[in-house]
Amino acid sequence: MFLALRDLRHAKLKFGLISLIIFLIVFLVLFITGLAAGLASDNGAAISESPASGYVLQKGAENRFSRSTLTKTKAQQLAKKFKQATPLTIQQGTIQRAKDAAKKTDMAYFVVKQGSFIAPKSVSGQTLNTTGVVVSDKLKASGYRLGQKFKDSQSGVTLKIIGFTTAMTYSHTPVVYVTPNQWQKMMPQETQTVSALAVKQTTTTKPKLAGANLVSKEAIIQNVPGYSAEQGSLDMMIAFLYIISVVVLAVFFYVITIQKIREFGVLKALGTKTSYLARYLIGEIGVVALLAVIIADIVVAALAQVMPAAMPFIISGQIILTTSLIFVVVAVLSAVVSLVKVARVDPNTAIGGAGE
Amino acid sequence: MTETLKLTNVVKYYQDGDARIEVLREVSLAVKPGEFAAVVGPSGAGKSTFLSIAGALLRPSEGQVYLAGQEITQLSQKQWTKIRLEQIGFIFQNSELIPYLTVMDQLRYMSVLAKRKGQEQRAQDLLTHLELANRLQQYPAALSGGERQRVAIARALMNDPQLILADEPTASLDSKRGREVVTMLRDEVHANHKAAVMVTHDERVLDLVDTVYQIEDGVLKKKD
Ligand SMILES: Nc1ncnc2c1ncn2[C@@H]1O[C@H](COP(=O)(O)OP(=O)(O)OP(=O)(O)O)[C@@H](O)[C@H]1O
Ligand SMILES: [Mg+2]
Repeated sequence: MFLALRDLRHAKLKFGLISLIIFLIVFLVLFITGLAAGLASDNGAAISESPASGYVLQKGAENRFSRSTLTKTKAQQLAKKFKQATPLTIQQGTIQRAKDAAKKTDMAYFVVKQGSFIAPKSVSGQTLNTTGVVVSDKLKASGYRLGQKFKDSQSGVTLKIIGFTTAMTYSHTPVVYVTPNQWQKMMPQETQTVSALAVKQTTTTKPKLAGANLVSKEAIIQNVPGYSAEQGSLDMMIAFLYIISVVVLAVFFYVITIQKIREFGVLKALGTKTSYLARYLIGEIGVVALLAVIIADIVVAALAQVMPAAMPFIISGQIILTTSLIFVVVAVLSAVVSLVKVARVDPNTAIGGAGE
Repeated sequence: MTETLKLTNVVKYYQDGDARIEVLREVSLAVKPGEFAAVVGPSGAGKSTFLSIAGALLRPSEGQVYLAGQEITQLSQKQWTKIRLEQIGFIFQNSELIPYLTVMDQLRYMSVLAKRKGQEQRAQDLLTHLELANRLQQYPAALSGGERQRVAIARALMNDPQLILADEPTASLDSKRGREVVTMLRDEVHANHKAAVMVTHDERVLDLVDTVYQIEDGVLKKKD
């Protein structure tokens, strides 16, 4: 580290700029990672945070609630195969407040039996019962308050908010939990069917189900409309950022190495081993990368605290740590090409004043 | 007494297709401790090639190289690196100081490489002796050509090598500064009982050395 530390100190600007670039890339990766996690949660929190371990859907529904219908009798038959099972109907809709009729809000109805294991846990107000509905915290952003009444745009039925649960969302829209009774008033034509059965399974054995499939929570989330495409593009961006950073850093370090070829020849002639030079180079890169990554981590952690609710952003300490580690490794790996170059420098080039 | 540097019948040639370019022909020479030798000759005569072979940087095609009685001709690159570090002090044409090391650090680096501790005082003494005491914390960019070459001399002496090899140390200096540098080098060589070989173009400094060799077309001859 003798050379590394002194070189870093002497060429502060050069290494500062490289640090800045690494910082920007790491920051971008962490930012997109946080956004991806935020969007994922925004897309399926009502499913991923539900105590249900899986769902029984109609055969051929392709793991989508919107394509699944089970008759109530069928649902009851299927329910017997599980220790715990309760019917669930999901449907997207639009609501509006009486005094602000022009402003409609998209949301998703979750029809759940009051007291069932998938009934929402209220953070404020009452738990779900026949007197009203429990809604996602997210609706607060649209001005909905406890005790307020609102209208289902399609049926015109009025519902009262009796409780708020956490930021439950489905396909980026807030969830409104209603009881089967209320649902029947809104959808009188759909009294005999439900979308699916939410089950809680403790065993790993798959029961045989006629005309239906047991689908895991993960598979459901993957098939929430828009989820896969969204996460896929974000993952792609992150993968590209990694590739870009390897290439950019490799080029940077290579250029720095090329500039130092003559100096490396002299150092070798003076009796410096190639392994010492390799450690010098890796040490230098390691310090620059570590510094950049630590600053990026701090900025992202701070940013996570101040992101507006409209921009879902979730990042855990563990993800920050893993990403940081990958980056330091990537930075060091990008030096490999340069190390090959250094190994090839002939110490004899120091003699004869070549080049000048 | 064993010679510090001894070359016997050293031949160096390069193969160019069918033709064989002979750069050094049957070069023999011996330099004793305390002896300051100079090798002069026209451009392309083989001076740099000779110095590289003497300095464990280039393998001769034929012949042997001995350093303090030990034959080093066929040692591995790794062993050569160690020998260069511990037994040879190099002074290069353009001083070749490391740009991001202060004058003191240039010398410290040599001790770090050789894993020798407690060399601070030695570094300071060397630099004081070479009239660089007030330049210790300067970077090479802030030094004059003559000062840089003096730092290079101190660096070459730092690990107390038996042999000093200087490659045209006055090439980038005016004649007055060149003479000063060579005088200092001579004094260090004599005072510390080192063997030194200096390759040079500069005929005006030859009165300062003990032995002069003339090289022409790869043939080395002692000049009286
Ligand atoms: N790798 C090589 N392949 C072929 N010929 C070489 C090689 N290296 C050196 N030579 C030739 O050997 C001869 C001597 O070169 P050398 O560099 O030793 O000369 P020199 O006396 O140091 O010259 P100068 O005073 O210009 O530095 C030159 O003709 C040069 O072209
Ligand atoms: Mg030469």
